[in-house]
Amino acid sequence: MPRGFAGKILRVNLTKGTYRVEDYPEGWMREYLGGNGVAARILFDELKPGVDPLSPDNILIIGTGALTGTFFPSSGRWGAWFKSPLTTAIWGEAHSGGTWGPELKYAGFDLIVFYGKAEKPVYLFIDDGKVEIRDAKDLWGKDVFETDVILREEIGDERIHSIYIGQAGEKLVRLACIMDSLYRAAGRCGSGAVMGSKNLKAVVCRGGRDLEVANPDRFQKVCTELIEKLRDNPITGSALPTYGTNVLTNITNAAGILPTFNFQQGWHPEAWKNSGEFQRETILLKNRGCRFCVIRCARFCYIDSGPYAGTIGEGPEYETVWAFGSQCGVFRLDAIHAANMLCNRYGLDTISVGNVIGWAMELYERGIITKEDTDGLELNFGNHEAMVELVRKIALREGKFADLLAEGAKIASEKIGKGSDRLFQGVKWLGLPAYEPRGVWGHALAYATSSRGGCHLRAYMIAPEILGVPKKMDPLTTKGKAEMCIMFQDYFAVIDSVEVCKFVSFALTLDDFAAALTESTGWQYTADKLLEIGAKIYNLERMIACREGVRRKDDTLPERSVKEPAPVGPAKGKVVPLDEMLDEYYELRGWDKETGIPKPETLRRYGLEKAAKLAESLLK
Amino acid sequence: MTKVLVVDDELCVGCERCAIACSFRFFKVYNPARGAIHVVKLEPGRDISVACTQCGLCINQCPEGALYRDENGVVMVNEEKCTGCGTCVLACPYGGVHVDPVTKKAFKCIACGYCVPYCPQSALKVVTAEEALTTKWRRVAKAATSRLELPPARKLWYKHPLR
Repeated sequence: MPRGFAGKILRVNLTKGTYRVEDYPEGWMREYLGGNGVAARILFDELKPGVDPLSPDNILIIGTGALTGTFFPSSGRWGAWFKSPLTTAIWGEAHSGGTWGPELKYAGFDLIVFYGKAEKPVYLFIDDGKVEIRDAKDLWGKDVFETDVILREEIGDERIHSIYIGQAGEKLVRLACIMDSLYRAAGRCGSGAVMGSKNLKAVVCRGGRDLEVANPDRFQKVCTELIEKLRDNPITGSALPTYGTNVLTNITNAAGILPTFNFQQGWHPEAWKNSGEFQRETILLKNRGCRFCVIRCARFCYIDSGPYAGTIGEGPEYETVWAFGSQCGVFRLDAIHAANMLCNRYGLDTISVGNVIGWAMELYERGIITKEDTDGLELNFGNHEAMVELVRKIALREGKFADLLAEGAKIASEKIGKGSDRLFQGVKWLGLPAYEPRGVWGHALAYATSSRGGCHLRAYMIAPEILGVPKKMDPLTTKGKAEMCIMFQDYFAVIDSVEVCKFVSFALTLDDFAAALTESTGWQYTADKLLEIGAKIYNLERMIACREGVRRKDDTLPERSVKEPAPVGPAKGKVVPLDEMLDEYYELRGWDKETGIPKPETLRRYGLEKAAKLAESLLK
Repeated sequence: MTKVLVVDDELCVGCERCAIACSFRFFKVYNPARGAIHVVKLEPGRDISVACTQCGLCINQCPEGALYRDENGVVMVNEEKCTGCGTCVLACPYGGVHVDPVTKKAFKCIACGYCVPYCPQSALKVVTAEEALTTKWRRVAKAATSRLELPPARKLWYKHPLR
C-alpha cells in the first residue's frame, strides 16, 4: 500500500476519448518522489524527439507529488509538464498553488497524462475515482471567471476544484497559462497553449478519499515542528504574511537588481510606489492563502478610484508588479493590478507577457518598430493605458501586432528582424523574471543553466546573495556560486517533485524534508539521499533537452547582461562573467565542458542507463 | 458553561488547515471533506470556516435519541445509537453536522480545540457561550449591513454568462 500517495496514474487518450488507470510504480515513488521526477521519467521514455509542441504528439502531464495534500506546511501545490511551445529549452514545466492539487489526490490520482487531441472541446471530470470526459461546448470561449461559475452550476456542487484555461489558451497564445481557483496560475513555458492545443478546457476534481501516511502520529509531530519553524522565521513568519511576495520590490531596488525599462537598469527612484509596503497601505483588502498554507502570502486587492476603479482580485505578486511595473516603466499599482486581473481573466502568464511588452516598448523607443507596426499604440515606457490595452489584445489575438507578440518573442523577433532578438531579455526564449542578472552573478548562472530557460525557480540564488539564506554570499563574485547553484537546483528539483511550496525552503532544510518524507512514505530518506535524487532528476531533464539539440551555446544570457555594463547601483560598470562560472558549473556537474551534455559516467552514477547510452551517442 | 468553536471571519484566509487537522484528529487520515469544520470561499475575496454552533436544535430531531448535550454543554453523538439516517443533517440550519462517508455515523464539531493552534491566522478560538456573544453580534450586524460592503464590481463579475 503506497503511503502519502494516492497510488494511481491516469492516462487519458483525448484523440480516442479513452482512459486507462495504472498503478503508480513503487520505484517511481521511492526514487523520483512524484512531480518533476516522474514527469521527467515519463517524458524521457515516451516523448518523441522533434514533435511540434502544439501538435497532438505532445504529452501533457498534470499532477502532484509525495507531500501534496498532507499535513506538511504549504502542501497545496500541483504542476504541469510538457514540451514547451514558447521556449527552445524543450523541457517545459509550470507549478501553481491554489486548491486543485490536493483534490486530485483525494479524488484518487497522483498524476494525469494526456495524449492526443480531442476532436471537440472537452473537459475532464474526476469524481472520487470515476473518470468522465465531458463535452465543453458551454465553456469554450469563456474566460476563467465565467468558466469557474459555469462548471459549478453544471456539476451542481460548490465543492469541486478545477483548473482551466482562458481564451488565451484556447487561441494558442504561447504565453498562456493554466489557472486554478480563479487567481493562481501555473504560468510559464506556455502550459495553457499546450492544454488548448489538446482541446482540453478544464480538469475538474471532487474527492472524498483518504490520504494516509505511513506513521501518522510521528508525521503529524514532525509537521507541527516544521510549522513552528516557519512561524519563527522572519521571512515566512512575518515578511511574507505581512507584505506578500511584493516585500521584495524595495529590497531588490535597494540592491540595484530590480530590472527597469526592459533590464536597462537595476534601480528606479519611484519603485517604492510599487512596493509591498505601499500596496498594503493603499489597495490591500486582506491576505489569503492557498490550500494548507501556513505562509499566506497571497494578496487580495481592490482599486476603488481612478481609471481602473472596480478592479478586484488576488494579486499582484512581486513578479507581476515588476513585469507590469518597472519592466514597462509603470509606477502605479492600479494599472499593474488591472493588467494582472486581465491576465487572470484570460489565462496569461504575467511574467512572460510583461517581459514581452517591456521588450516591445524598448523596440518602439529605439525606433525599431513604429506606430504603424503596433496598430497605433504608443508603446513608450510608462504608458500604462497602452500596456493594459496590449495585454487584452494579446490574450484575444486582436490586431496583427498583438497577434505577433502572442507567438512569443522568438517568432515575433524573426518577423520584426533588425536586431530585435538581441534586445529580448530571456534565456532559451523564456523571458527573464524580476532580478537583474548583472547585480547577482550567482542568479545569472541559475538563469543560464535552468532546465526551463530564464527562470528564477529552479535555483533561487537571491536567497544566499541578497537575503542571506542559508548563508550570505557576495552577489558580485563568482566564488562558490557554481557549487551553491547546483545545490539549489538539486534541492528545488526535490521540492518540485514532492510538490510543496518553495517558500518553505526559507525556513526549512533538506533534513526537515527528509524527516517528513521518511514518516510519510515509510522509506528511509536522508538529506544526502534527497540531493542525489534531485541531481538525478536535474540530469534527466537536461538529457530531455540535449536529445533535441540543447547545448552549451544555449546556456547563455541576454547580450545586455554580458556586454553592456550596468549604469547604476552596486554593480555599476560591471557585466556578468558567465563563461568562468559556466566552466566551473559543468565541471562540478560532471557535464562535458565543450557541449554541455552530461557525461555518460555521471548519468550512470545516478542509475540512468538509458540516458547514459543516449549521451554516449550524442557525444560521439 | 457551554463551549463552542468560533471563527473570526475577518481573519480567515481560507487555507483549510483546520479541516485537514480535524480529519487527522478523528480519523488519522488527511481528507478535509471528512473534517467537522468546512471552509467556504465566496468570491470575490471572502473566506470563512463553518462549524457546529452547539445550538442543540438537532437533539430533539434525532429519531434514535443519539444526540445529547454532555456535561460541558457540547452536543455529542452517541455512536452506538446513531444509524446515520441524516435527520440531524436535514434539521441543522448551519450545515454543522454531516454523516461521515466511512463510519456512516453523524459527525460534528465537539469543540475539542485541536484545530485552534493550527490556524496560521489565529482566527479560531474555543470559547464559552457568553464569550461567543460578541462574535454573534458582529455577525448579525454584518449580515444586516453586508450590502454596503459589497464592491460594485462583484455584480459584473459574477453574472452568469449564459443568462
